[in-house]
Amino acid sequence: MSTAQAISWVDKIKTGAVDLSDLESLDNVALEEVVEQLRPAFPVCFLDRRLRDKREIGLAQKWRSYASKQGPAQSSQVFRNCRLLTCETGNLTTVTTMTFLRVRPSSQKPESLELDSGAGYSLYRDPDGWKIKLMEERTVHLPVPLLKKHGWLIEPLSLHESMIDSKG
Amino acid sequence: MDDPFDFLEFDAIVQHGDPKNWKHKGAKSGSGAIARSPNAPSGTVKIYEIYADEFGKEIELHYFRHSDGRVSQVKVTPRRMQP
Repeated sequence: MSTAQAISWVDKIKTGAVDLSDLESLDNVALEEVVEQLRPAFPVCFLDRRLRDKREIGLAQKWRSYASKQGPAQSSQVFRNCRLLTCETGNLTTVTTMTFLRVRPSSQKPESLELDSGAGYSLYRDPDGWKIKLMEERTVHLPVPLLKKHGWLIEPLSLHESMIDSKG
Repeated sequence: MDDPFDFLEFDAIVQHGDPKNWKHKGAKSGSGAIARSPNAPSGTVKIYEIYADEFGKEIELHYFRHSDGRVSQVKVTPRRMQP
């Protein structure tokens, strides 16, 4: 893939507007090159997982942590305008967008986090070729060990003083 | 032998919950056939398994199973609505 083609895909991933007629060219896009060019616009990395020849990276444009006067159990972290990118054997196989991801300690399950995700879409290549699916707004409660296994990088209760919303 | 759940992507668990809570509902017809698609690694079979996720929604787990037990291209696909 030429650098011009890679840059073209970076622009598409940034805006979230993909020309489906170009999908086959995604087969040859190298994840590392795309991530390097996306990082200035998506500086927050909340996920990074390597498993054999598979790698998955989660980026967000903005991140904010909200403290609550009721204590850490009510605190939350919000990642806005998220991209999830996966490659296998070096080439992209998934591009997912989500409008936001909100994370807070789960009130339902011990040692778990509650994840609220905003709508989006996922463009992915499965054994039958490229497909697209909608990402629906969801709330799930996931064990911290499962999240860590999936490459989750953010400590559940890490609140940065400079980003605390005192109204929280 | 690889467990395909180990290779699930983050968007799958955000959309469908903890895979430990998914209910296996059997294999889809065509599962286990030799993979012949252009992007299929040689000597692999295509596996299509049906699950109900944490919300009771039916989903399909698609992946290649290699002859040495490895899996690749593990993806979750929404199940088409039955007529």
